[in-house]
Amino acid sequence: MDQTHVITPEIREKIYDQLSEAMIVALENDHMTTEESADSADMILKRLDVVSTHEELVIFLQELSARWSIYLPVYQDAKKEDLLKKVSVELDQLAQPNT
Amino acid sequence: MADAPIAVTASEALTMHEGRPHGNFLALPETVRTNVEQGRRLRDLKAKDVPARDVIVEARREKDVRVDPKQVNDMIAQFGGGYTKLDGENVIMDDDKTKDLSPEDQSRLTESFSSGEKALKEVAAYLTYAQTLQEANATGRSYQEIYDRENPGAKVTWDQLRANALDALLTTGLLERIEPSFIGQSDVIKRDFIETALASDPKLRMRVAQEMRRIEDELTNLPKVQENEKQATAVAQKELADKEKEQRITEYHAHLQAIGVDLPRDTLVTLIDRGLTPDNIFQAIRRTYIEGDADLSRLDELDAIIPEFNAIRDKVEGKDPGKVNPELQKRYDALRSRKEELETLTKDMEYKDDKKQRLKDIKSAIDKDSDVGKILRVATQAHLASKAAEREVAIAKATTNERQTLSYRLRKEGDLRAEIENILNNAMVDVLAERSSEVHGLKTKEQAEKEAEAEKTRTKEDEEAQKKVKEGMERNWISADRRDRKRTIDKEQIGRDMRMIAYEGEDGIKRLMLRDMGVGNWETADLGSLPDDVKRQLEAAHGKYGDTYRDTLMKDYFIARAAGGRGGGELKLKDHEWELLNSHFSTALEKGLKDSEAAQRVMEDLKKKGIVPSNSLKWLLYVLLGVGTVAAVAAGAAYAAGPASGIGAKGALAGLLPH
Repeated sequence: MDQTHVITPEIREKIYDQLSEAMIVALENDHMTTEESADSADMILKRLDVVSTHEELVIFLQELSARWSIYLPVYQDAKKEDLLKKVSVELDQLAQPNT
Repeated sequence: MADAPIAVTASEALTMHEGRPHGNFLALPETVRTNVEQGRRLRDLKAKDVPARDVIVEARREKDVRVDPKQVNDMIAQFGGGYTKLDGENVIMDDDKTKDLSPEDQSRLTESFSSGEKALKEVAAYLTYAQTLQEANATGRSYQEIYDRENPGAKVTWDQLRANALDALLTTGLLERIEPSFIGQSDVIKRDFIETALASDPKLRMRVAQEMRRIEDELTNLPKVQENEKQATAVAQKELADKEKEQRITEYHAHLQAIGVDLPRDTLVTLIDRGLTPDNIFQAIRRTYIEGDADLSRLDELDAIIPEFNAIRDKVEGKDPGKVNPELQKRYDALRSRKEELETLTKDMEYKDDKKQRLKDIKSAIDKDSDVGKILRVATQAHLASKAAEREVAIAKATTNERQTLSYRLRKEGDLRAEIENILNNAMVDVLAERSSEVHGLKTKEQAEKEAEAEKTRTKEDEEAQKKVKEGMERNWISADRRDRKRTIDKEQIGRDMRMIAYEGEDGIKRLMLRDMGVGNWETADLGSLPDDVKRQLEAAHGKYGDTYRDTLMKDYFIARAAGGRGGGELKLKDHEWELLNSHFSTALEKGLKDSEAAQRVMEDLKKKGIVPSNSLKWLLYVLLGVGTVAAVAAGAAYAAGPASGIGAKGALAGLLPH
């Protein structure tokens, strides 16, 4: 497996942080109900601990934000990072001298 | 280097945030939070460096206390072997799926389904009831209004639901076990007590909902009642083959009868069941019905001769005898002689044409290549297929995994149903015990802080003795293992110690303390002649913990009674033992009750009704209302629970009395 795509504990923690922040802001602004936050928390806890690659993470966040749009920025952010990672891998390969 | 953040758990942070552990012995119901309040609460957690994942866990907690109708239906659908279907909003047994089962199995499935459904609906009714209570208490709206809003079009009225839920709590018998004075009391009194003191506690609802969620998982993972696939296929094949066999035998038998062959059907079946081939059966029929009949036998022989005779005749008749092959001539002569003989014999045969037709029919019926003959061949093939399928069934049965059988599944359903039936009772006992330990924990923590200064001056020996006594209180009667959160109740010990303090009063408490301190002859020692150092340590420990010790024992006693189960006999105190207990501790009891406004109200109401509270009921009030030294902190909250829980000015335990 391409190690650049593996989810490290730090990345997982960062996503938890972003999701909890999105949830709290939505609750504070009454854009989400307590029940919705509980349901989305249930999905987050069931899925986020088991994703192992960046691709899986992006798919999970896409599904999550499709159900609760307040998580959309977290998904977009992860997708952007995913693209950046892929581009940087390609650039690295291009930069390799031909052997 | 920056300071590492101090990680605390969400519950610890909440405790810090709210300044008290969750709930007291009679806790104020937690309010239903608005979305914004919930946001702020989670924000506070993050501010206290609680890991983000734990914040999300805390957010999910709200889900733990909700059990929706769909979830309940999903659980119900697992009972009855899962042979169920949705009929509108109700789950019912699916007869189409069970029609092939034996009547006994059908009955077992239906019984398991019905009892599972009943148990689940009872718990679900409690959860709806508790949710309504909680929200009404939090918002100040009426129960009816909340119930109608949350359950539009409900078939059950609020009053019915409330009565059912309280009945479910009442039938646990918990109340009578805690306090025998409730035995024989009217249900109104008992319902009011339960609603005020227990049912509205959010912790009870949460615990019940969590148990439901756990059992839901177990129900979902029950082994499926799927007949072994091979077995099911073989059974189907056998059924098909048997049907084909029966059908063909009937058809063939009917044909035989039509042509006058009176072969009983049973005989035909027996021949086939014995594994005879069609050729064997044809031969048997030939022997019986052609060879056994002289006319038919001769006709048959004649039929057999004529083709050969005709073929030879052209080569023999009208030819020069000297040129005919002698062997051929010999054969011709023999055939002609036999033919003439047969023709003479059959000349007078009655209904000759009929006989000829009958012979033709029988021969056709036993011709393996004729349409009729083929019917018997199909019947015997079906018989072989049926036998082969039967062997498959036997093999499949012998190798079927026990987990997949109906009996295993039903046994498991029974186990889970028993757990569901005990959810309410166990949750109530847990909540009572939890309230007690929290109050106790809070008090000892406060005491520890207040006495931090004084402790400096105490001797090390005194501190050690007190520590042992304190540990004894936490371990002697009800001990809890923090790791697996299991609680152990030593009913025998509780009963013995209660008797000790009933008979010996304060001296009894001192003896128990001596035991905790590790003094060998604690039961018989002359307390007045103890060694000076032991005496000093005992007096210090008794001075500090004497009342707490008694009240803790008393509380644990009531919790042990609430827990029910085996070994309850040791707990029973005789009337005169309660009298003794009162005579020794009447000052503490009376003062405690007198100082408590809530207790006074209950006592006055009891007096007005002409009821003299039993000694054990007084002690129960003392413990439940938190008027003793240990639970004193809960007194305010206990009484405050009255107005907040919707009972109004009558007070929390004034609901004990009929209104």
